[in-house]
Amino acid sequence: MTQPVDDIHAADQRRGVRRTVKILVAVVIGFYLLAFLQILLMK
Amino acid sequence: MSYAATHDQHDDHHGAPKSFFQRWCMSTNHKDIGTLYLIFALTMFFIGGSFAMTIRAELFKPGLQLVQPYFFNELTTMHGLIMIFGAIMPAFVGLGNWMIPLMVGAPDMALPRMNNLSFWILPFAFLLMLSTLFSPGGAPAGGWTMYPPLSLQSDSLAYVVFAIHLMGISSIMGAINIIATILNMRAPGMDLLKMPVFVWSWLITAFLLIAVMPVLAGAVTMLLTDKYFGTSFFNPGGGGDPVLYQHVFWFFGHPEVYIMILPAFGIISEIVPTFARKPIFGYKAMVFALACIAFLSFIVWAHHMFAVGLPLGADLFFMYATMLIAVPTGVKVFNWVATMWGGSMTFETPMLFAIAFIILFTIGGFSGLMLALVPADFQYQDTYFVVAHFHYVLVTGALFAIIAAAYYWLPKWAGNMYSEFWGKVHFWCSVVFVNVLFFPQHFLGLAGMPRRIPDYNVAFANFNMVSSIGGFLFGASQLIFLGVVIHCVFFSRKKATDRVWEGAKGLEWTVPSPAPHHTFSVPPVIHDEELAHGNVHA
Repeated sequence: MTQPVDDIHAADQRRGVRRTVKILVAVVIGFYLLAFLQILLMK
Repeated sequence: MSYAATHDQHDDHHGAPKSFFQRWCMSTNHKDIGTLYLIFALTMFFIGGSFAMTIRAELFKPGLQLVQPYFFNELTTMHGLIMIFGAIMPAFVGLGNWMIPLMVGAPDMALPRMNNLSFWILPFAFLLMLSTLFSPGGAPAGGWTMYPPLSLQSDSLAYVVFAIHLMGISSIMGAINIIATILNMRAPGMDLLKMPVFVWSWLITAFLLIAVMPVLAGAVTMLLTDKYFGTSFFNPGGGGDPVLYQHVFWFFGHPEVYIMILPAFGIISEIVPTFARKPIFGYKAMVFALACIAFLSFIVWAHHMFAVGLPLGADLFFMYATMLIAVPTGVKVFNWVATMWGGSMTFETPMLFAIAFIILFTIGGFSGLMLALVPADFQYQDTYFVVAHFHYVLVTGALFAIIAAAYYWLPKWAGNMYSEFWGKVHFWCSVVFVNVLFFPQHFLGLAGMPRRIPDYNVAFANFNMVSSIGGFLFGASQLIFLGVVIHCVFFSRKKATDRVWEGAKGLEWTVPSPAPHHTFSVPPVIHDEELAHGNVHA
């Protein structure tokens, strides 16, 4: 058990985690794409 | 005993998995994964340290004694890569894993399975990297920065590039996890500006990691395509430029330096108030200083490459921007001193290491200021002065903070007190011998001894011998640390109290020692006066 079960904020927390992770993953993928786009353009 | 939180004594009703494999290989528990990170970092520290001992043995006197020059270069390269990516960074991630959920009142990290994956990538990445030492062409020997064209000569470049990609993925996953945890999993009432400074330092560090690890991935991938796919990013023969690599690498590399020191600032900001028995002086200023340092880290990268011949305007910009970092760093140092000022101080081992950090890191900071000066840097570039500078910052800085943190939180992790006597023996041996090791290297650098060479002019013999003796003794001193940790975890009979330290404040000290396998399954009730920084708005 690693998530709170009887926490009234649990649903909010899970929604918040999902939103944060989506944003951060988008940023990371964006950075990676930018880096490799740069490589392709400079090739 | 007063509690900052109502800690549910039933938290531990789901104990740790019984099977060794389930507990340690399939764990999703932040404490177990934190322990794995710390054990991994300690192992890598001793492997990287053994390379350093060999380097110092070779440099004990002029001439070639023990190793061939190419192997020497392999050692310096692997020593740097292992200590940075294998020891310092995983140690901070381990400390973050263990302490961040406890400090913000969360039951675990936000993404526990990804946490497991982040860790288990690492041993494979380092096995891959270390295996190149036994490959026919040998390990890469162009330095941890892997500047082309030298690094392109290595036959095992592809292995190291792949290992770096794995480490990068691990770091990014860890960073996403930490940000998601801090932003979303805090207990109700734990406002951002009530969080411990260590948590703030990790939040800012995690953003740095996300921003720069893809840049490193891009840089090393370009190396790979230059070597194997016929591109010429860094090859002037094909229209490329090797200086481009330096720009891209250091755009990653300088924030990386702060990735290795910001969590150390956070640790010191936890330890000093505890043993001075005073709240930290200027909490908000400490947080803003962390953010300022992180921002400045993105606009100073070219101070690593003044000697390549940058335009005068660039030289001036990067020099002034670099010197600007002294301002927020000075804020931090003065605030630590102000926290101690008038405090009821005691000098247990964590506090001794914290005070040594403040003094010796500042010495490293001052030599950094000297290196920031363009005309002076032309003389210091690639000399032992630079080696002395970054070892003061990373050994007496980052490493001392990690050791301080280990002594500070070990009783909470293990439930037993460590031996204060042997802790102090470890401290005094470390602090004396680390200076014997690195301080003479300033003189060697100023006298013109270049770095990364297995042999040197006889004029440098005396200081090198002193430095090597310091190195051997400093290395041996760390075996005391190993002994203290093993004794504390397995043999100590002195049980730790919940709060452990008289002046300790914060949620992590409200849970029993050792911390149960599961904590804060029910969010704690926060009382501001029991938090380290609860009355910041007052």
